[in-house]
Formats: sequence, structure tokens, C-alpha cells
Amino acid sequence: MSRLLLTGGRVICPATDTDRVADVLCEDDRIVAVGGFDPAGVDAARVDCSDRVVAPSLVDLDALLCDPGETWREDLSSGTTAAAAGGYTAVLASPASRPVTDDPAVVRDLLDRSAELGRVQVLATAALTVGLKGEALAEVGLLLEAGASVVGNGEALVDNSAILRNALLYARPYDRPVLLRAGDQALEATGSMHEGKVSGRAGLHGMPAAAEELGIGRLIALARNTGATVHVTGLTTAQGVQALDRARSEGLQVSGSTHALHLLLTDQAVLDSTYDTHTRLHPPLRSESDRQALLSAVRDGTLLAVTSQHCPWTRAEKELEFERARPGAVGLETALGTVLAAIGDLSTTLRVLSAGPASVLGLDRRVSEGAPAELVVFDPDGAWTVQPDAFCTKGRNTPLAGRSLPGPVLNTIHRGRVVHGPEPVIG
Amino acid sequence: MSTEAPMTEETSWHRKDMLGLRDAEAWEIQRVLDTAEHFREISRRRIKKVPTLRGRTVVTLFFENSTRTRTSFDLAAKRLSADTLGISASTSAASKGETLMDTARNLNAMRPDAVIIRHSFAGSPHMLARAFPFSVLNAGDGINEHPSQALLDMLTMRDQLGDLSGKTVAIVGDVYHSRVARSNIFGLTTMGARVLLAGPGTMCRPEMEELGVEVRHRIDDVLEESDVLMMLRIQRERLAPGMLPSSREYAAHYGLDLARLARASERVLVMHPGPINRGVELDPEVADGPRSVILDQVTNGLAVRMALLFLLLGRGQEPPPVEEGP
Repeated sequence: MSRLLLTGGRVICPATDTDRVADVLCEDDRIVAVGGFDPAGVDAARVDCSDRVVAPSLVDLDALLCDPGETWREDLSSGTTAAAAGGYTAVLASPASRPVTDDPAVVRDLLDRSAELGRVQVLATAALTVGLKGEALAEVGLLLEAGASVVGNGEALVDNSAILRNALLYARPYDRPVLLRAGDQALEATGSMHEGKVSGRAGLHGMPAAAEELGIGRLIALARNTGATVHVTGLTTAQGVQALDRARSEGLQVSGSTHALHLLLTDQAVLDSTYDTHTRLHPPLRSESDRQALLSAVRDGTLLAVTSQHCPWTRAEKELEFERARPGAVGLETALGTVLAAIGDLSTTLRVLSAGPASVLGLDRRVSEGAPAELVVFDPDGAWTVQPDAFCTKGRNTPLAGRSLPGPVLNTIHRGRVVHGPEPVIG
Repeated sequence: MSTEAPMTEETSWHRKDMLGLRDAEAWEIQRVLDTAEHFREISRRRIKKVPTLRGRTVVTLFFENSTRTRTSFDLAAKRLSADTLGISASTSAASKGETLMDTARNLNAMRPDAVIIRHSFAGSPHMLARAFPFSVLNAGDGINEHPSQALLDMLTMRDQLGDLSGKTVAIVGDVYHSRVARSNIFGLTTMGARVLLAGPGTMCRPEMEELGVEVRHRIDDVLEESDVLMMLRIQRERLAPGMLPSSREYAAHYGLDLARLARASERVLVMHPGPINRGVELDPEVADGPRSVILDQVTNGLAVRMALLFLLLGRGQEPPPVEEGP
């Protein structure tokens, strides 16, 4: 039996509404005590957490790990090391590996190899359609049986509404959420940045917010029609979160998430950086009023989760003309700092980065007796500077390079073991 | 507001690159136009060459077709005695899949002093300007900017109308796809002119009002109050499906013919960046008529480009005296 003792930290747990200084004792992969005991006599490896926050570790719903198939961008080892460095202990891998997770063997391979590495838990998405092409249904049942946690189509849209409806009807009896992005293929193809005042000044073709509004409208209509449980990923516009709010008030089984960078940056970053391709994301960075709407939706709980949208592209994919550069940024190592910088409030930040996404995946993220020993220790008053060359991910593509972010992660604990940060002191 | 720049430390030319007029200040535009007026004299001489940029290397790197702009820049460099080198998309390694940055790295290894770039993607000149020590001149990037064209347009207007402040310029046509229009909007509004836009709804969009202009759509609604009618080319190569039903409808609702010209001020200037689609945006009789300054634009283009090369490459240098030479 291994024991880990976290002493003197400020325990913040949104799920149990906890915010107090307490010692936390883990035995093997469980938390066995939170406060109410004398740490002096405990025989355990120790981590001094004075002036630090001890919280449930983070859970991500949207990370591209590129393994199998594109391991020059990322592999399970670099991806899970990056996740641990960012405070994550569970990452839902995007189904868009090569091959796609539309075959049970690919799901099993992903789960087996990541378990062997043992750094953080990697969860698999059962592809909704074959090759994520939106044409034929994938073997959702067999994929879930092979160990996939949820169903989804990654970034790819299912353009044909009849096929999407059938897919939702088919997936429904398996009783897992279906993760879908809200968008409109034809409207998104019109531009490379958010359409608005800034795109007009920048002389770049715009991508209208209407694309997302149309997309979520379609998802909500089909969720109502089929009774499916839908989690809408990557909402980035005011109209998008308003539509989500209405659907939720109506009692539909619909939840939603946004991406960390969209809470902090706006389309103005494209112009301020004079077309730095690292500011090219998909969906694009939106207007300030959209950003404010996202922040409100995070605070009032309309948005359940915030994702890293980790996209580790190579230099060759970014060192191109803005309109040719591949959209996306790495995010696993910067998400906590990004959301903290945008939101400020610790409890809200942890809710959308931990408990919220955990509920989509059916994971337990609490700091309380009996809960899994999945924890993050960070310095709420500290700051760190984003240095892409120091990243654990193979990707260097971030619009945050050189920026100071709050909340440096000191330790990440998975299954009661320190998987990131200094080793605990024995005895 | 005075656009006269006092010769002080703050107003000495410091820019390495000319990427656009979005962030240009009034005194900078004024400085380019004044310098261009000066250089215009050189082209009127029998020996049209000064040694100002002798020993400097100017590269034109064009990824899109161009005759006017490219020859104008090339001639401008030659009249300043620079060595010039032309690279186009068809002859460059881009056709073999080389990236723009790699092309530029190779160019840079040969130590050019200036690279004049035209490219179909916005921000490409900015990318080079950030990464390399040579001066970058934007000769058109996607739908973004074409600053030397707007500067030559403003010089042409200033020749005819004097101070641009308070003047009304109507830009008519496919404003959305026009980098000429965008640079003119930035430059003209900075110089205190009023800009009206006319054109089909797909090409003159509501968000353009954010650029400090008035969107009117119908050409009939801008004719009477304009000092300048700047007609844009319909860029068939850039049109997405569903942007324009027909050339016939365009000519009928947005084209400039003699009947419409008769309703404008008798001193109105008719401008066009070329090449003209005769009979679509511009009736041939208007294009060749007395109100047209289209060929003056070309003459001024050469002078403006000489001025830009001089200012960017000869930072701190005095312009050559006009009296010099035969």
C-alpha cells in the first residue's frame, strides 16, 4: 500500500463546495481523509502544500494526441506528459487519429498503450461516423464495448441532417453523450478569421458567427427530435451560448463547452500580432462581445466545460501565409493559466476544467473521502511565463508565447502517484 | 489638423517597410506625396535616371499576375539606379511547392535591400517584414491592401483638387474584394476626406461602415456630391458563386456611363486602378473622356514608387536636387 500526504494546502472542490485549509491523505488510488486527522503521526510520502491550492485534477474533452498515425506532431508519451504538466489526469483523445477511432482495435490500442505509459488516463471517443466523414454510421456499439467512453465526430461536421438524425437515434440506446461541434460547412469555408469589424480592417475573409448559430440550431432541433444526449463542443459565440441556454431551459439533454483561448483572446489578436498564424484557430477567435458572453456563460453554468482544444501542429504547418496556415494551438499546458487569467475566480475555473468535463465522461472529481486520488496542486498567487521551447508537448504553436499566466502547476497526482512535479518527501 | 510635417526628430522617416496605410499617419502620407512630386520631375528629363540607389538591389516577387504595378516598380527602381531582379510565381520554386518563407530565406541569403511582393494571401508581406532585414513593399496582398496604388491615387487627386481634407471620394464597385479600395479608405480617411461606397450588397457590406465610410450601394446616390468617382474593376477571378448575377445588371445599376457622368459635378475626377472592363464598370467614352485621369494615375504611380523606394532605402538621405542633370 502506498500513502501520499498533502499537507497544509487550501482545498478547493467545486463539486462538494469546499474551500478550506486541510491535509489530504491518499492511500493507493483513493483519497481516504480530508482534514480531521493529525498528520504528524502519519507514515506517508509528503508534499508540502502550504500557500498552494489542492484541487481535483483537470479533465479535458478535446485534445488531439495524433497517436496513432501522426506521431511527428504528438504521441501518447509527449501528449500525456504535457497533460500532466498542465494539471490534467484525464484526457479524452480526439477521434481524429489515423486511423480514426472507428474500429474497436484502434480504441483498444489507444487505451492499452496509454495505460502502459501510466502518466494520465486517456479516454477514447467512439467515432459517430466512419472516418468522421459524416456519411456512414460507425460501429458505435462495438467501439463502446471496446472501452470508448463517449461518442463523437471530433471537429468534423456531419453535414447531412438525415444522417446525423439517424446517428443520434442509433447511438441513443447506448446511453452515452454524443459530442458534436456546431458549425456550417459552407459558411465556415468563406474565411480564416471571425467576420466583423476586425476582419474588415485586417483585409481577411471573415467566417460569420452565423455559422455557429446555424450549427447549434440544427443540433438542438435534432436533440429534441431524437431525445439524444448531446454535448456541443467548441461554442464560441454569444448567439451559440444563448441557443444553448434556451435548449437547457426547455429541459433538453444538451450541454456545451467552449475553448480556453476563446475566453482570453479576441479577433483583435490577429491584427495586433500582424497576422501571426498562431492566432488562427478554429473556430476563430471571436469579438469582445462574444468573449464577454462566453465568460458570463461560464460563470452562470450555461457552459459546463472549458476544453484545451490541444492541436499540436508542426512549424511547417504554421509558418505559412495566414490564410494557408493550419488553424489551432496547443493548450494542455496553458489551459489552467488561460482560464484563471480570463475568469479570475478559482472555484469557477476548477468547475469548468474539472468537475464539469468529468461529468460528461462519467468520472468522479472531488476532494473527499472515498473519491479517486486525482489531484492538482498549484500556486494561486504565482505566475509563469509561457515559453514554447520549454513545453512537454511536441507542438510549439501558441498565441500565448511570452505571456505571463497565473497559477503555475506544481504537482499533478494520478491514481495516488505524483505524475508531474517534484517527488514527494519520504517519511 | 495640419498635415504639414515639421522636420523634427519625430517626423524623420523611420519605417523599414510599406505594408499598408491602415496604420499610416497623415504626415507620412504627406511625405510620400511630396517626395513623389519631387521625383516626378526626374521622369520629365531626357536622361531619366539619378544615382540615388546605385549599388542597391531591389527584387520584385510577384505571385499574382501584374503588368502595371510590376513594370512601374521595376522602372522606379531603375530610374533610381538600383539593380532589379524579377521573380514570378511561374519561375519561382513556389511552383515546385516551396513555401513563401523558404523562398524568402533563399532571397535573403543574397542580401537584397528591398523586396516588393504581390501575393494572393493577406498578411504575406507582414510575415516577411517581421522575419527579414530587407525592406518589404506590399504590392497587393489578397483582399487586404495595395498601398502604392492608393498613394498614387491620392497624389492624382491632390494634383487636381488640392488638399484632400473635406473632399468627397466615392469608391464604386467590388469594394469587398478590392485591396485598392481598402488602402484608399484608410489613406483618405486619415487625410480627412469623406469616403462614400457604392456597389452591390455582396460587395459593399454593412460591416464596412466600421471603417469610417458611408455605404450607399446605388451609384445614383453618390454621383452628385462626389469630387472623385473611383471606379473599381469587377474582379471576376475572385468572385464566389452567388455574388453577382450578370455583367449586364452590374453595368445597369453600378456602371458609370455618360448619362450618369452628366449628373456629377462638372469638375469631377473619374479614376480607375486598371485594367478596365470596358462597358461593365466604365463606359469607354467615360474612360477616355475629359474627366478621366486614368493615365495620370499611371504617371504618378511611377513617381510614388520612386518616392517609396527612396524613403525606405535611403532613410535619412536627402533627395537628389532637381536641378541636377541636363
